Amino acid sequence: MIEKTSVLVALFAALIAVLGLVPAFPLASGVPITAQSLGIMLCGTILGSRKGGLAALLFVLLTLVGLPLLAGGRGGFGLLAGASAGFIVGFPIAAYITGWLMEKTKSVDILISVALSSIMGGIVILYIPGLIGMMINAGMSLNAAIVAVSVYLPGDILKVILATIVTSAIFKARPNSVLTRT
Amino acid sequence: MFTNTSKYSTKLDGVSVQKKIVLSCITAAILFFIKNPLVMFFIFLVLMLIYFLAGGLKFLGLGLYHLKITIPFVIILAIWHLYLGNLDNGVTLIFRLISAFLIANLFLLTSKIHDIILAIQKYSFYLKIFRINPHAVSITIGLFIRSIPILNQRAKNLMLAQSARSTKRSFWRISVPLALSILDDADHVSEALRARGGIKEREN
Repeated sequence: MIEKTSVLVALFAALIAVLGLVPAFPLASGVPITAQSLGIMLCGTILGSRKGGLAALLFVLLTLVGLPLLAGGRGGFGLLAGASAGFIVGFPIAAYITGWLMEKTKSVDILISVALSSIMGGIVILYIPGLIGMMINAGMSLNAAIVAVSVYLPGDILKVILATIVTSAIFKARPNSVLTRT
Repeated sequence: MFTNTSKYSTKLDGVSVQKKIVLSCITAAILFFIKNPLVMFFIFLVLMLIYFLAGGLKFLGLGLYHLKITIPFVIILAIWHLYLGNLDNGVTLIFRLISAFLIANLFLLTSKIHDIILAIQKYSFYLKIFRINPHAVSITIGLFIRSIPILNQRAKNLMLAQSARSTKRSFWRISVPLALSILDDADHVSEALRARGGIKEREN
């Protein structure tokens, strides 16, 4: 069992890294729009709280140690002084909460469950450390930071829709593969 | 795939990864306690001097070149603090950001990724204190590193297959088959791991 857990954690962490290779859209705020937060949502919706959180944690730790895995080939602990710092630190928390909400809404229709969990974990929870990071590293007020990150919301809504399509398609094809529903 | 190491040889290449990572982390952490813009600027100058002494002018140029990813955020910080009229804080934040990246890049440019991973795997032994199986951590890190180029290539193959079926090249069309292939891989690799003796339980 520990073998399957290790492999799932490693492969989903690799999925987050590969999603960073999808071309990113750099924005003036210094935080680019990337597909990596989609990977964070998928970690939570498919693997669940513990394994999903561990996959995101592995990705974040190895990125901070120096692997150039973030969009644009960024890596290293220098990122903690940048605009994305809060979002990077928030990845494991967001994946954990997304998975936890999926586990708590097992009885609800999967489309609604994935959409709600992804919105709460992948947007609401992820934006809290993201905003704090921008306030600390950019010296912005809360209102200014909210305005700065609001441009990412449409993209994040699209990622929620995509996470819902992917997770429900996997659930239809192989119900046992969506660990939050077993 | 991961080639961050500098092509120029430096005096820091021979220093152990463990020493460099500890020193880098301590120095970067200290930056967050400095509020004086002049002190922060002085640290920036010292770091440039370290680059120069370690690898010469070309290495210093390479270090400065790697700062290009900070440019958008530096511009935003400058405009924002000019608008607020809070120049001291702006200068401190900008040089903190630049210095943190200089420190991180100094570590990365003088350390091979392979050595960094080996160091992590070596020290994951101490995770036993937190009741975490170090063997599992070691295998997970190895699998993670190995899987990235494989998954990247698979995503490209799926894109090619998709382009044979449609002129529309959108990532979302390949996301379901990519995720399913990962779950297949998880089954196969975990079975292969078990067949080769599996992951050892905690060693005493």
